[in-house]
Amino acid sequence: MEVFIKEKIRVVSLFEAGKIKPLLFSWRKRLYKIIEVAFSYSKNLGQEKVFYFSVQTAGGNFEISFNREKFSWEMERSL
Amino acid sequence: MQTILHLDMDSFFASVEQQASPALVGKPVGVIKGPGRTCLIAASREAKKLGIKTGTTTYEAKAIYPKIILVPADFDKYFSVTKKFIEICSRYSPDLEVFSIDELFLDITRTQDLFGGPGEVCQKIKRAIKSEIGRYITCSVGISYNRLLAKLASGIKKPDGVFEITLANRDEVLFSCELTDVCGLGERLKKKLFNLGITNFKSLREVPLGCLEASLGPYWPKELKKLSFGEDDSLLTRIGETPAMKSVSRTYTLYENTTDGEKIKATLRNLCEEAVFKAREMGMAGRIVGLGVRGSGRGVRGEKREARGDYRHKALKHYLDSGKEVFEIVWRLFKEMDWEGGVRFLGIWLGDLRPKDELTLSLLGEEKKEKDLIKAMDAVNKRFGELTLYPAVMLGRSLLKSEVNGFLGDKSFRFSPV
Repeated sequence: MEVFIKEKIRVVSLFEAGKIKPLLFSWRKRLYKIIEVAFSYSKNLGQEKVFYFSVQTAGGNFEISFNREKFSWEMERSL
Repeated sequence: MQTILHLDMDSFFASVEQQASPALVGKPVGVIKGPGRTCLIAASREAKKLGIKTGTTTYEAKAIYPKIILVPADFDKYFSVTKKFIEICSRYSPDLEVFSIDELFLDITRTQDLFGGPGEVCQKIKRAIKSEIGRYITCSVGISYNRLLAKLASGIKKPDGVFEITLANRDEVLFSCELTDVCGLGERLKKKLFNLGITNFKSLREVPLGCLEASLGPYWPKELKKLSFGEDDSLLTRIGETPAMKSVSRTYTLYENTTDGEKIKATLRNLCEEAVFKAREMGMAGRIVGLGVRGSGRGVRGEKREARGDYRHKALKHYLDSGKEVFEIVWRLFKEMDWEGGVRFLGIWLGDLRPKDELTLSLLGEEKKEKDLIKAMDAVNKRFGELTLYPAVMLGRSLLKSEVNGFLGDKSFRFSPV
């Protein structure tokens, strides 16, 4: 079941060839290795561009987001 | 002869939701416009197999499959996928027409040989969609020598299929399909043709033109004859060549009938702000203001009716691009309707749009003040997000923000370079 979370997280990611690839993240003192990015999309919130990633980890599936202007990552929800 | 592809994403909204949420994969899913809405705007492949389709009510869907998962639509998400889809297809030809949020035409006449022919182009696009958007997202492709037949072909092998209509199989395909399978022929025309005893494209082709003209007037018979031969001489409209919009509009269906005047006022103001902002963003102003209302109550002549609608407009001598001015006219039109009973649906439009740089500038100081205020509000809203600043009449109301619709009716705005 979907649970909305909206919390700041720390993410290790690869920025390459104009693309962002999250690799692992820490949330609530646990480290999650991303097995697969199943889907990604972006939205404009005013002039801010936010990239959303549906990620699969051994600890569950999540949607995380990266705000390009604030340069920050958030845990959006568990899927 | 041209080679046109029509690419149509399969169960688009539902597939995107399934791709985004693994818990939805393989399950019957219905997409609704928002929480509390009662009509499915899309159904997943699994739901379709059970007989649940677009347009099915949530009540009907639950009667068929009580465990159906209902997901509120996220049009920004779908439009983001549309943009990726367009980018992938544009690698194979610059001659591309976006037809709706999940369909496009690609003219590969001059580029197909670079990529190994039409079949190979289709497979390359399908593979790119799977690897770059998601493995659950598929598209069906129609190949033919014009738009009409390419679109018809894409519907023949669904989902994830490829079908080609050539001169050799054209008649076989046309004669085996329903009249309404062809784009441009709707239910009303079908009914008229049925009344004339024409039930398929074979009989449509055989009936003399004069017989059709006697019943359908001068325009449609010639068009119908062309359709019966699968003829279509229309050209693709590339993104940058989309004709300028003639009007901007916004409609909204309330969750329940309301007689609350303040709510109606706030909603109308909200709709005006949104539609007129679009016109301003495109550098346009309009001079025809329209209002549509549907609901229950008394008819125009006072008779009691369960449901009714009223549409009015006002043509002005000057051009407007201010939400406030448009709203003042809309509100006057609503008052003139003297609506009794509940309101369920509201729609406004600003028509006869013209580029503002073709219009005479106002020299009045007051108008300049108003325009500066609008300019400042637009700058704030563009920087911090839609409706960060909004008119006080909307205070305390749930704000309606702009959304992409499935038909992409505002594509000249969405893809506007402004």
